[in-house]
Amino acid sequence: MRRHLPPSDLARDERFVRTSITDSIQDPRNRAIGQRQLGSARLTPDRPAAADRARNLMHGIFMGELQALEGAGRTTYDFDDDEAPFRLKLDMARQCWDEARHVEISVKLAEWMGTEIGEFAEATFLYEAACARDPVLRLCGVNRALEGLAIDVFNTMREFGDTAGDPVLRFCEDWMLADEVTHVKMGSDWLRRLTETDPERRQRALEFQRTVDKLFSLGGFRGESDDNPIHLARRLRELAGFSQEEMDEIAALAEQSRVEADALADAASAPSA
Amino acid sequence: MAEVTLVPTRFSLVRFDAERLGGLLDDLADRVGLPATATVRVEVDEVLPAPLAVTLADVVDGRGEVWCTGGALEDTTHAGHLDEGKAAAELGAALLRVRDRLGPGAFAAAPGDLALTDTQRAAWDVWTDGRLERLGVPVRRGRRRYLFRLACGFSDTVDETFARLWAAERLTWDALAGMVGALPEPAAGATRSRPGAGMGPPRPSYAALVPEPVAARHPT
Repeated sequence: MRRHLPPSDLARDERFVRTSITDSIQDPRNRAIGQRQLGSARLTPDRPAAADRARNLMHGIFMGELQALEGAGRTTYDFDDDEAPFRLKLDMARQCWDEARHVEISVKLAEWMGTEIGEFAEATFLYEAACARDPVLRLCGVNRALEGLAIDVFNTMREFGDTAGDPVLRFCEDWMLADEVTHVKMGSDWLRRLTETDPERRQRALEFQRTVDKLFSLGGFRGESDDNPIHLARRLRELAGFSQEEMDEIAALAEQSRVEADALADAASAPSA
Repeated sequence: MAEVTLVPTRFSLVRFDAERLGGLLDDLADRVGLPATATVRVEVDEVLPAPLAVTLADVVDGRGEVWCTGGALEDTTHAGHLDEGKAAAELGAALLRVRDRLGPGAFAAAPGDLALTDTQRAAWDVWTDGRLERLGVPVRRGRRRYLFRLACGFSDTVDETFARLWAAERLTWDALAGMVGALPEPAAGATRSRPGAGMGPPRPSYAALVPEPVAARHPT
């Protein structure tokens, strides 16, 4: 079997359509939307089009779970035991089991919310973070950055389900949230162990995590103000092993990402000379 | 044949074909049974993308006035492209609600779309989708059910009301508003507006997306 599978070779049937982050950043509507006063962007049931925004987000989570399964699965196979210890691979195998369960939960949840599989486009950047050649980078990019984002999303959606009185959404989010805390902790533990005697490798991994964290803040998608649909779940991140400094840094990266995305949108929609 | 005018006549931010959309509107006007004397102006706001799917359908001075976000017609797998199936369902629904308002009295007392509550609007949308399905226009029943539950609550009573609205052949505004007015309050913590609840006139949540000049053209 082949090692290090590129995103283009992931198995998908005709229901799935790919999109890229560049497409959304270069959308000519971005600038005009920014000029509208649309009120809070926070994803709560009383906001405009809340149901469709929630359906869209949960479909994105479904795709993320599928790619997390594929990424953890690759890590059990892509490396020899001297590159990634057998116990790390066992942890990844256990994570595969969790992710497979999350995919099943997400499929049922999509059905509950009236969403068809493939109704929204798939972005593969989660799997791309799981393609790093160093397993420590994968752990930082996927387990710490992306599973950390999953904590923020699941917490926001659990609150959404709570407020809306939707028992199924609330229950699904709560169950998946509990697993994500474990996955982040697993990433933090292995980062410490594998880089105990190699501070440079640790730095490279943390830098990769920062890059992924910034990318996934998606121009203001996550943050701590009303302009951000998804909010940083500080208490749950603390339980997963994030320090206050690390969370402050993620909040700052999110704000920086929003400013940069605004600038890119301005540049993309400015009339050419 | 009813006269349906599309605004704009050319799109610049999205890749919608105005001519094709115009043809679709003519076909829908015929299918939903708009009176031959009816005139309707349909304005598509191309700035607001999916998943912001919002439509207003009112009658002002005897003329149908429809406004919708581009997101309501957009292909959710190809940003900026028209999804003809989705457009048929959204615009068909808007024209059907214009027909309701133009009809002889049954919906004369219905408030304008910006003055409806979220629950009233959700109920009207269910009835409209049910009728569209019977007219042969593909609609997404599961999505509509979730939107209705989110507006009215998650309970068997709400689901029974959904089924009755979906299957209803004829309704008046009073009957429709009465059906959702009789529903129990949503679970504690729910924040959606209910008929007569809260301070001041009710406003649906989607009103926040409607630009001021458009809101000024629609009754509140």
